[in-house]
Amino acid sequence: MSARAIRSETSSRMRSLAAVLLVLAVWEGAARLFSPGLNPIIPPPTLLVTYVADHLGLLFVVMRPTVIEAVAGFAIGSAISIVMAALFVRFRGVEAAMSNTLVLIHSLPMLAIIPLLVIWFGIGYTPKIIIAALATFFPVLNGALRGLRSADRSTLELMHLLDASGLQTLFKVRIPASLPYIFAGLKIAAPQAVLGATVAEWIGSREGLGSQILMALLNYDVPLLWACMVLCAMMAATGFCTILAVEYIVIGRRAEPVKAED
Amino acid sequence: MSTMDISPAAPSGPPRSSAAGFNDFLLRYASPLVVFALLAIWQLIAMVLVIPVYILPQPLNLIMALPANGQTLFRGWIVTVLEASAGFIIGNIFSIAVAFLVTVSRTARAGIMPVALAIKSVPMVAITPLITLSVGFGHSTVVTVAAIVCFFPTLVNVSRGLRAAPSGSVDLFHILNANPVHTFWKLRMPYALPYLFTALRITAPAALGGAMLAEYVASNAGLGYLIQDGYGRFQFVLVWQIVVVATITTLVAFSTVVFFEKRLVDNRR
Repeated sequence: MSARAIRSETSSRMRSLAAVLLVLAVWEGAARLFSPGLNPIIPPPTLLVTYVADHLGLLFVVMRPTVIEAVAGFAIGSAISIVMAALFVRFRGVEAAMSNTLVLIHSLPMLAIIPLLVIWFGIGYTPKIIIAALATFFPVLNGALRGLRSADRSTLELMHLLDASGLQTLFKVRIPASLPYIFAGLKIAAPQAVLGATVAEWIGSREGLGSQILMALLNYDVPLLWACMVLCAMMAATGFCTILAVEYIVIGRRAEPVKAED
Repeated sequence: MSTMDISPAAPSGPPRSSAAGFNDFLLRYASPLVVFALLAIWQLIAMVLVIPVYILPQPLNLIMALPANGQTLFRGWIVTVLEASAGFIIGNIFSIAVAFLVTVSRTARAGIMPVALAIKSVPMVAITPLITLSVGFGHSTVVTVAAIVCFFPTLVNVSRGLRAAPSGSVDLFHILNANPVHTFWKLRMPYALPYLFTALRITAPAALGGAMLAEYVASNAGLGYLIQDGYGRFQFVLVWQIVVVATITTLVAFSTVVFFEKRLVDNRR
């Protein structure tokens, strides 16, 4: 990267930072100016910060179940979808047989199946984990399928010539080639898992971010609502960044950046 | 892309032998057959084990109860579809406009994109209650949520697409003294179309999902509200019917986008 490119990169970063700061400043000023009442719908950022600082304990308690559900759902969903993608690539018939069923499941409205899951599994963690897993499943499956098919054809032919077994080809060629795609899928899926867990908590739940958000809405507790919203966003961002970090550790810089189109 | 593109594996080439023909037949029809088989198994299990309706209604139950619930379902469905469509149109028009702005001006890009990405990373579930507070209970909230759901995927994809035009062509337009509007419609938009459709494949189903989500908390009409209502009144058959109707609607929305994509986008690129 040339010095000039770096400088232009830095200047664009500075501009972005300036834009964010400007937005925050305008927000603060406008909120203080126009809605000095007790419960403004858009509270000034400083008020939010003090609120969060004052209620750290509560927010931690609220967040804990959601984190557990999202992480468990994410792990289960991505494990199943990667195994399934490997099966699909190995046995074409399986994919042909399953594709319509999967598309159907994918089109199921999350919101609609949550009540059913609550009826089946109660109001504990299970329905939320299932929803988080479902939300994770399809982006990862999509990435893994593309990735496992992205292996270089001539390398595959070489493996064939060398009389490599299916498993050897899978582990030595297909999986390494698929990693950037799988990580692209995981990066989409991590925020989705948080979203899934939170929606699932809307229905049939007494704890967690989702139910707290609803409570805050019904009680007109605007600062709490905002705090939950920011927490939710931060959890999604943390998930994304964690995957990003793992990706960096596992495949490093050499990976072609596969753009996550979500 | 979060949308699945596992299309039914289309066998290529003519059938070679009768064995290959049978194989092709399986590849082509196995998938719908599996769906039907699952439905049949579901029906059998529910019937043989006498599973109560509130745990698992039989598929036949759902069909039999259609006349009774038909009107309720249709009323809810039409509300959801209208709200989702309104949100879809508004959200996409806005985001294409913003994408244009972001492409034309670097300052706008530096200013808008980080804020947009920050808002995009806030899950919809968290924003919906806030929108309810600020916009009010009812249709406007639902349309707003559907529009916001559509806004960001389209913005990200189209702004990428608008920059996909080859720089040689951009230079040519510049030399020919084309104004920005011409450059937009004649050059950048055609190149951005595939990107736009990638976004629409995501946003068409997402608008429906977002609308239902918003209806669940902030409305007294539509499928999302009916889910909450039916669930609260132990009308489990109705809830299941809504699941089916919503799923079919989502599939139809997705297929419609794909239909237009096939007509309008040159697939060779």
